[in-house]
Amino acid sequence: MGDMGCQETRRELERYVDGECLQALTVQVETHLAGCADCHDHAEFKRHMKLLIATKCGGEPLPEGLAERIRDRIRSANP
Amino acid sequence: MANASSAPAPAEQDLLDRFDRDVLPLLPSLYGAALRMTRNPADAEDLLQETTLRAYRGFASFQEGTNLKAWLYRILTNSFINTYRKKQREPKTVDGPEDLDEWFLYDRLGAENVARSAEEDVLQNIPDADVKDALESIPENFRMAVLLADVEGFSYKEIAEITGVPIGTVMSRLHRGRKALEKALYGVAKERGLVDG
Repeated sequence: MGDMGCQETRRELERYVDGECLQALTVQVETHLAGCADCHDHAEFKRHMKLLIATKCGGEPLPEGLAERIRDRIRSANP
Repeated sequence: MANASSAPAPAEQDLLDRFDRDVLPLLPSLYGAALRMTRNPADAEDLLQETTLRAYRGFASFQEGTNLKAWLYRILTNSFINTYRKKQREPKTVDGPEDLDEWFLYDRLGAENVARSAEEDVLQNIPDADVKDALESIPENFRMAVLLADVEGFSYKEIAEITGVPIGTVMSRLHRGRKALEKALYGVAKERGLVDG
């Protein structure tokens, strides 16, 4: 396995940031990122985007009484 | 048929107890996903009611120790597709992302002289409601993939199982969904004056 170039690394960054690369590929990507500031920035950007969605689009509070309404409905329905 | 006031049979009581113990803690995240899918609280509540009822009916045959959260999201997704999507009016969506450069937002932020170190701040300064709106504005299949991966933290394999498509399709939807989202977010950041232009 040869060293990965920038183009090849960029193609894998999405899967890498998603934690979906196999270990051998993860090592190759990380080796490249350690020596390439530009690709490192691109990876950080992907991480920031992922974090943005996770922190801003989750954590909705459950409406008042909804858990109770769900419990009641299940108890009144025969499985 | 038992009347509502009679005590449940022991087996049914056991099922109810398991349901309370295992499913109720997952309601907030299921509700959040339902809200992103239906885009309004009344439909999200109906969808969650329907999902939990279907889940309860299938709960007796659900194997303890297998992936309960993924199973519930699969029911949620199927319920949404079968029932709610029919009556949903598709909102005005952003253009398909096919025309976007690979690093659309990254390049824009760089071009706007946003220092790379400040990039995270620019993104985090976009109000929550705007990020949610941006997510809700992208096409449904893309939105579901991004939601399941980034908000709910499911793996590609789990998303494939939940949405009933091959992993390659999941990856493609995620990729295109994120690009569409970048485009929508850039529009918001510009409107908010978070970037020049």
